Amino acid sequence: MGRMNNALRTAAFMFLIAGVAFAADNRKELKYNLAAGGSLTIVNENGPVSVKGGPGRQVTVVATTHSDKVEVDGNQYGNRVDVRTRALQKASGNDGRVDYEITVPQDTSITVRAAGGPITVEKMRGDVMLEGDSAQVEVRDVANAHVHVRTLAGTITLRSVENGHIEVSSVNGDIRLSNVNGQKLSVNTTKGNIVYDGAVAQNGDYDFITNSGNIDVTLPASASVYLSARSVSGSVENGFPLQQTQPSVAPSSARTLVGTSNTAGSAVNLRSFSGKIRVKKQ
Amino acid sequence: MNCAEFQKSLPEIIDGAGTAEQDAHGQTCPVCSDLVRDLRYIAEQAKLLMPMHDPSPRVWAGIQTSLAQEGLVRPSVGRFQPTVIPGGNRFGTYARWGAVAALAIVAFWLIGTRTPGAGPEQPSTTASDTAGSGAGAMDANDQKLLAVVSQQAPERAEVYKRSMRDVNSYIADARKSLDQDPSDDEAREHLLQAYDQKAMLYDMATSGPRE
Repeated sequence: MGRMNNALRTAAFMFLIAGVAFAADNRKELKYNLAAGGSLTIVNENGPVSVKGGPGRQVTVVATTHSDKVEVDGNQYGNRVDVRTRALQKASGNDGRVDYEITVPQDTSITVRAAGGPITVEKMRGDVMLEGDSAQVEVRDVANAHVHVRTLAGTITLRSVENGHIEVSSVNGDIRLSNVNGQKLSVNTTKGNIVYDGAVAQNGDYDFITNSGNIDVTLPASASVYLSARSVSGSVENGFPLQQTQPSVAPSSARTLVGTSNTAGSAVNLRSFSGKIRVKKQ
Repeated sequence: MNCAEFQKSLPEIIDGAGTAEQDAHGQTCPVCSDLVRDLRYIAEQAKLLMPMHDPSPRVWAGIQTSLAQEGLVRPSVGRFQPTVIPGGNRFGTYARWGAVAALAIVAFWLIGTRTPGAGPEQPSTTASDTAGSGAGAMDANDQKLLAVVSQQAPERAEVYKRSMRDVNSYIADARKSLDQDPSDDEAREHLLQAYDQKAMLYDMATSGPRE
């Protein structure tokens, strides 16, 4: 009998805790219609933001708050929607967090500022501007878009980005690009590593620059590139079949590599101040 | 002379054409002397970007004709002659323009943050008594920025602090390399890149999602 009472008490306690947690979460759904060429801005200090492109012309924002110390404010101005988290009082940790799940028309231009993140964007055909201090950022299945991402410490991952004009910058975060191509690809970091794996667009101009991070580039054998790599005080290793067009001019022969493959249709410039640069064949 | 009066005459002072009174203030005020030193450095780096020259008049005439045909300018408008940077290597072209912008941002920040109230009559923070030492040391502006971030979003302060140190180390590394060999274009590109990263950090700190 005593055992049963204990079990009941425990169950009641768990139920109470769950009830309190549930009551604290507040789900808010906002809906807007955007015409072609519309834009959406999300500003969220703390919490994940997930944006997914879809059919139709409707923007749906599902925001979940975890306390009454913050609120979600959404407005539409013409063909622009602005949604942001507002702090009603000082809130930290989970109290200040808001989780956003958003679906938008694929051609919408989106801007997300989420300091803590993570930020996830997928299936978009409009411009994508993302910014987060320590936010992990992931962009996938995006095409025909200007993709501009910057973080201080968060890792940036781009996957399957077609025909993009891409600018990615992070101070300390690693930057990983897989099957990302376009006419212009600019990747900069101070301390992060840069990893690129995939084909290169014809007539593309790719710059990868880091201070102390490493750069790993893996290209298919069919890649048509003019490749230039230099590490001021690090090293350069090449495992890709290049016709070297220029002997090393650096103090150490392992620090510079210049060569072409196939018709050299795209320029790939790799620069690290003190890190390693490795070029490999897929 | 106070800091506000001094900073109104910065262009002449940086060119070395300051008055005796301005020189005297610059020697006694650590904030203003730091400002002048930093701006002179930025000006020197900007000069190193690339020698600039104008394309032939035919190019400008062609551009003007095209713009006139598009209705963007009237034919009577004076000749459109922006200065352009010649091709150079592809790695540098975008970086140079970005770096010019970065340097300008840093310069504006330097001017904007050194308020007259921070004169010598108050205890001030200078580059020599920065948080930390060595390559990643922060100057007074960096510390001021971090103080603002700490006030507005304390949980983000550590990320900004670490990033600032790393960017400053990058600047110091590149500057050292360039000082050793002023003809090293790679080191110069890295220096500009480092300033670009610093400008990004300042921009994110001041335009970030703080509501």
